Amino acid sequence: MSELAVYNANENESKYIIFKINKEVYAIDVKSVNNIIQMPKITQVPSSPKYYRGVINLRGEIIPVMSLRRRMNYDDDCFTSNSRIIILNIGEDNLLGIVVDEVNEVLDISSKDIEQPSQFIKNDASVVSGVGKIGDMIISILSVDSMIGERKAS
Amino acid sequence: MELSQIVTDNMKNSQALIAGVRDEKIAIPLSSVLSIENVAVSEINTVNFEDVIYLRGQVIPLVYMDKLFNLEEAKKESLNINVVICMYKDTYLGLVVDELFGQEDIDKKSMGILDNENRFFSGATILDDAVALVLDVESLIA
Repeated sequence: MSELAVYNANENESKYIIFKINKEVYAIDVKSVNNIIQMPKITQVPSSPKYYRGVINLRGEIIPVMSLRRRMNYDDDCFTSNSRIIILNIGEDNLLGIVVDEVNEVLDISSKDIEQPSQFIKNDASVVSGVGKIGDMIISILSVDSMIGERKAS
Repeated sequence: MELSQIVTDNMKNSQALIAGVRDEKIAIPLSSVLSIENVAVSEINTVNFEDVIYLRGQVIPLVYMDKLFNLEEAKKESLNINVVICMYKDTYLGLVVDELFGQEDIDKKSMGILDNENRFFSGATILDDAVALVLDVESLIA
């Protein structure tokens, strides 16, 4: 009962939205998340990089949508009724949607549980800015900057 | 309420010709459009491996919008094609589209980070809930 009064002050803990892509578990800081929606119609934009699926109309706003599967060079997206688009805040006024297979929960992850990804694994296609370990789960932490980061190669 | 729409300025830039390419719609700024022609397929010539038409004394290269969108070839071969004759500075271009829907006042919106990541579109607009991309004619003039 006394636990009710405990406020876990800091410990550099942040809340993360947990989602899955290609059966792998990912997390993104809730502060970056603007909205989560079900799959709408996506209008393709020719001549844009392959990992952009196109744009969507969300209540009158045009929002670009990226496929992380394509960005990470996996097989293409497979849409199910669980698929969602997580709309992220980019900088001051921009938004970016990412296609995910399912959205699971919100977890508190403290920064002491997050490690840098291995130097060998990190490459241009990598959108992972850290790896968290929660219980038995290995969770790849995504950051918005790593998603729209360098694209010189493409 | 439509009050807010009346107040927008009526510069030519905000009016566009709406064209259809298969199931997609595109908006071509009226300021770039000269005319719309219905051309017989038999009149298409080839110059330097490019399809062109000869119109009122001008050789006008054709740009097939379905190729731009990477769509399959039209199922049935038709005898005529719809060409939107556009102009940028003194270069002419003929855009081959499937259908024409008339002109509309459009509210061109930025596509966020996609604005700098694509070559041919300067934005998008919403027509009846669907998204139509706004063509940047200058970019097509390679």
